[in-house]
Amino acid sequence: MYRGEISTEKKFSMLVAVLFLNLVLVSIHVVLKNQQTLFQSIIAFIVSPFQVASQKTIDFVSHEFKHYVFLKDSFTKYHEIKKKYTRLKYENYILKKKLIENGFTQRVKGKFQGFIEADLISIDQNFPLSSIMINKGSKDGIIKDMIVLNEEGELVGRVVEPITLLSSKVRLITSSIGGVGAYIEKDKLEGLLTGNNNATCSFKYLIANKPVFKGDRIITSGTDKIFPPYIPIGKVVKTQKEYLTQKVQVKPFFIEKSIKQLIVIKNIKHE
Amino acid sequence: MVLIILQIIIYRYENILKINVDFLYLILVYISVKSGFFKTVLSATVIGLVTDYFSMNVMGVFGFSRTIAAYLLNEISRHIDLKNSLLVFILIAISLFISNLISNIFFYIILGVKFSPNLILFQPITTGLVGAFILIPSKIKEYLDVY
Repeated sequence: MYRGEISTEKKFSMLVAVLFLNLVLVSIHVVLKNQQTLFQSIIAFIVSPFQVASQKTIDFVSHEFKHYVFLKDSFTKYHEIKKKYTRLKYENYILKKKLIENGFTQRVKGKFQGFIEADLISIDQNFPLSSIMINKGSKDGIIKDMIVLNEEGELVGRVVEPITLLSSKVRLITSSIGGVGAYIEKDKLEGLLTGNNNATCSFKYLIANKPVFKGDRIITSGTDKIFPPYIPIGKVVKTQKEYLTQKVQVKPFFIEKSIKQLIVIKNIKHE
Repeated sequence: MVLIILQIIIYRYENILKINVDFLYLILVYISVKSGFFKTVLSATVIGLVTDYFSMNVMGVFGFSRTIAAYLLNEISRHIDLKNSLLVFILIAISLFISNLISNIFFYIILGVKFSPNLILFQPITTGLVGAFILIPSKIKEYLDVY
């Protein structure tokens, strides 16, 4: 096997130089507190077109297969969708009625400027519940802190940097970085929801005198000025009382559902 | 190219496939075995940075750890019989274990994330198995100049 002969000193000095360069990159990232660096943008700019192209090719092939080969279940699926559509139409009517009754429509008027549909490109392989990458970027109007929901309108996370022309990163609510202002839907007991890089989130700073039960629904409170209010997050799976507060574990709704297709909410105006 | 596409597919469908194989690392193993020192170290940094991009964490962490792993691979592969698939598996698994352990220590210090068995144990084993399996056909061994 041929290998060029290089002195040990040269080898080590080069190895040390390369390792040092990597450490500099790490330290830049840490000093900027996880903000986007120029280098990160360059890497994202180079890699994301390949990623998006591969994803589109895979989607095209799977789409063709689904439509022309695996059609045997389509009739059953059509009926399922028809049923779901009818149920949603009815739910929509009931909700609209309730919102008008509560004067909610006036309060949220002009806050939601529309949405962008996005597809998942990749998941962090090592920490799958930390962050994901979607196939919509600055070209499609994506900006930092836009809210990401799943197909059923449940909270998934928010857009963070790096945002390239064709792709952007989404930090999931299950990530250990950041938090969401939330409350228990039935009694408006407010706290802070933080992720643990696993399938459950911790709901902190809840006072102990109001009991929380397994199965209680958690929704966003809007007090963090990032996430708008009334978005469903998840349900309580575990509670533990302490002296003044109570420890609550919440399982986000999106965990058990597909995140292949997502919705990015545009321009939320906070009061 | 096939390995890169496979890696992109795995990153996309990780939640469905439930497999954790680092195909980019197999490219790095190939380069480390086949090439000289400079090419190995520089390729390791580039592959590490691409892994950093895909893993969506701190830039430079995998760049650092993959460079160390590639250096070890480059040095150790000279003294190992690469015709033996078991030794190939051990070489890939141990080097990736060391690399991922270093990365996880960085993640622990910087991001405060716990030690991930997925990253430290499962990925080295599955990647080692896939690497050893890929190397079984004699033509590939020939191409790697080890047959």
